[in-house]
Amino acid sequence: MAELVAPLTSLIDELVEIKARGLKPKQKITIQSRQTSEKGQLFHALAHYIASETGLVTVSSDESLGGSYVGVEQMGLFWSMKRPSYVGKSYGTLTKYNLVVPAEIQLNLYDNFLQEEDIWNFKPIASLTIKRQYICKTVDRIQINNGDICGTLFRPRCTQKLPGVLYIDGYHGGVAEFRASLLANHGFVVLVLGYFKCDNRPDELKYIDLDYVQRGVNFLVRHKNVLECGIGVVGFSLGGTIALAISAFSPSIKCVVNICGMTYACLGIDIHYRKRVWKSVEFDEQKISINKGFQNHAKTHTIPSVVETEKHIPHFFKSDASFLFIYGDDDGIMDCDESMSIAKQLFQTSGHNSCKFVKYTNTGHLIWPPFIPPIKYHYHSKGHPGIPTDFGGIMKYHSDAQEESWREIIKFLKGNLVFKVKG
Amino acid sequence: MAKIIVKPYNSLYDDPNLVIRVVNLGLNEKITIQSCQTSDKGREFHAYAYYITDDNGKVDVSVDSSFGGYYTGVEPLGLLWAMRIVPGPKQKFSSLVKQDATTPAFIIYKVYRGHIDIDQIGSINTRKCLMVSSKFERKFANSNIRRFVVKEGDLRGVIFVPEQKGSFMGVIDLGGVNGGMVEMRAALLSNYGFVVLSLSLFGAFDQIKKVSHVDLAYIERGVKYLLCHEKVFKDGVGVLGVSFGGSAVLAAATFVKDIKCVVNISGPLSASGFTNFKYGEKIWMPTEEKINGHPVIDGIQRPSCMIQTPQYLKIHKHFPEFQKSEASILFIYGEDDRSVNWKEQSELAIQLMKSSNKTNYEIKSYPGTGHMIFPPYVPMFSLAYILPTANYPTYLGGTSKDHAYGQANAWKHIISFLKEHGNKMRDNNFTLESRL
Repeated sequence: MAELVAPLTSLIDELVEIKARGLKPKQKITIQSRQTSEKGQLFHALAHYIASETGLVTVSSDESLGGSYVGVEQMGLFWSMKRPSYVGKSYGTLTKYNLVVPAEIQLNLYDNFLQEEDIWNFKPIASLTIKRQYICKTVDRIQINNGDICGTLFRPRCTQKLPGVLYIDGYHGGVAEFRASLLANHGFVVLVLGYFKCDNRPDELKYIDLDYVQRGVNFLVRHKNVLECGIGVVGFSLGGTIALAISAFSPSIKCVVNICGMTYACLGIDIHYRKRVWKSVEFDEQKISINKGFQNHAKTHTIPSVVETEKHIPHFFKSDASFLFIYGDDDGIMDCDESMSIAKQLFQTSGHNSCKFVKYTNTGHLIWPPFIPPIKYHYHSKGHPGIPTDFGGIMKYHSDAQEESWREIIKFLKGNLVFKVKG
Repeated sequence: MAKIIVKPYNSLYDDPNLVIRVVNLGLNEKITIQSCQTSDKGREFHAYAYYITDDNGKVDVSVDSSFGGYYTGVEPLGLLWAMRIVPGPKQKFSSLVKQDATTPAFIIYKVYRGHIDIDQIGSINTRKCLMVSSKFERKFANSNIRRFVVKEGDLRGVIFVPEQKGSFMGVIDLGGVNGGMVEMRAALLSNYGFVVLSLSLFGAFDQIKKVSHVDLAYIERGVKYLLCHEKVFKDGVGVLGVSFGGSAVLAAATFVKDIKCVVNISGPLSASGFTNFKYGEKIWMPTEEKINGHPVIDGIQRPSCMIQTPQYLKIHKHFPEFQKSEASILFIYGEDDRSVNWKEQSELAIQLMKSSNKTNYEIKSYPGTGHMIFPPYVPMFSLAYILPTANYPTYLGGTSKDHAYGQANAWKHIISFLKEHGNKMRDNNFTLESRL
């Protein structure tokens, strides 16, 4: 009897083994993975395998001969998921916002090599549903709503203090927990700070309130479960820019990770701190071009000179923190090379040499945690409503970058934040 | 006929190179591999994991991935370290730490058809799926190790001596707050080329069952005894202990110059367990120890810390000035220790050692590892009734896999630390001999 075998529960960033057994010798099969997003959109991937002489397929060591990916890809059925072709133009993401309920992935086994368009006409010969968790059983999720700070704290259940990490997400607002909870599973107390479109924060982001972010830093630094050795800040996209900005003013920030964030104020949103203002570089929505039905934001910002940049971002390059920059060379919404080059020069002039720049080939803007399907087309808050934006990236490369950058980030945080006892 | 192959069939308990294979099974079959061991007190322990045989009807636990059971993924020694007490109406906790190190422990491996949840189904129903069952040994000492009972003066213990020609560094392995000895650890240590005296503070042989104070001079007498042994280097000895035993050996090093290196595993910088330390006229008392009144969840008490760390200015009441000893010290802590606050204890230790300009120490900590740190692959022992009055079993810290890795890594560091000193002594003595 043909069947699929896989661990029934695992964490989102964990590798899993999938096998199909009970097949005929050399039987051609298709394994399909299906997952429905929180907005009810179906995603799927499929791969073609040939069973061994004894009727076994082992995904971690067998080659896929076609489908959503080819070659040996242990986690291919996860990261290569896309919207089915029959839905036409429909864009969504499998990133989750309600983390209490795990992600459910249905694995289906079909006879023969089936194509993406007509797999829906066939019945699977075996099925298995597995769960992938964002939050480890030993991590507590605590909503913070104390009248000032709006966010969520992920705290591993440990009697000792652990290193703290402040997480700031991008320009869509609310409290985006998914990356933070996965980080917490690795032994950090993580505070996700919402800065607009949540609770008592403004509905519209008119400027970056760095005083508020500072209060977020203080909240974390003073938290009873957080180690006194200093905290890390991880920011994604606009959150990355904010992470750079706040590091200029907070000596308790020991290290900063900027994932795809511009190295100066952008999107027409100024940065405010204690009555000082760093204006955004010029942002012109008119310069958004439409290419094959997708918006392209690459030319919307006027890139400043190195000298001028100091007017557009607080002096992160003079802080004592260590910095890690993660970005892709196919970022559809910002000119990374230019932006990063400016940061490099600023570090150089300040004699600051604790900075690392990691660029990933054919990788777009939306660098998610590992094994979550990369998204190329997504709705951006700026520009033409209803027309998706091309955020860039070629799936396989972008997925590899998600895996590698995750390892880099965790290694960087652990290297800079662990309780170091002299011996 | 299905067959279980374990290599070596009588491996040493701490051997990481254990290979467990099942062969002659059906091709690509779902199987459950179970490991079973009975403790000294007759409690059944087990672990099980789900595998799929390959195209040759074989499973190799060291390279194949488990799909479920007590662990998932590739865990070559998971069938050992993941063992837990079989659920049942008896006591919910016990320890697999074997007392008699002269006889091996026996592990029975069983292979069942299908992926079965043995804890759910119960042993009667699993019998019909059983395909093969075999018994293997796990020993504590190689055949070249001799064990002798020690009853010299008031010293009570056992000594493990490598039979081969030559001399070795002597190591005292001290028992804990419940008395007796941890023979298996001493035996395992001796395999690395040490003469190990497993010393009991109380409760073994004809010793009284419980004491109100431990005289550090007893350890001193143990050191002297060991140094007199014909196969022990005269340069000095190493000492090792866990928890109360760790504190005691560290305290003794303050006064006994012949102690050259100390391994303190989870031991606080204070007397503890309601037992004082004594040396000559001096007495050191425990700090406050809260054994009741912690949150109880599911019938288990879960403290965050039971033993209060002494204050820097008051430490002289609780612990002798170990920082003035010249011995090298290795501190080993589990980061999830619920008995002592390892960070506070190690910070205090560093402060004290700095004040004496002492630099020959190392502090190693292991994430997810609890208080009871045993040799590798001994299943995590994290629950205990704390005498004399604990009302519930108390959780001492540790999460299964992390604790297992912590024990394995701690053991590597301990062996390497002791070997470094043993080798120095060997070199000294070699040079000495070559000069004669």
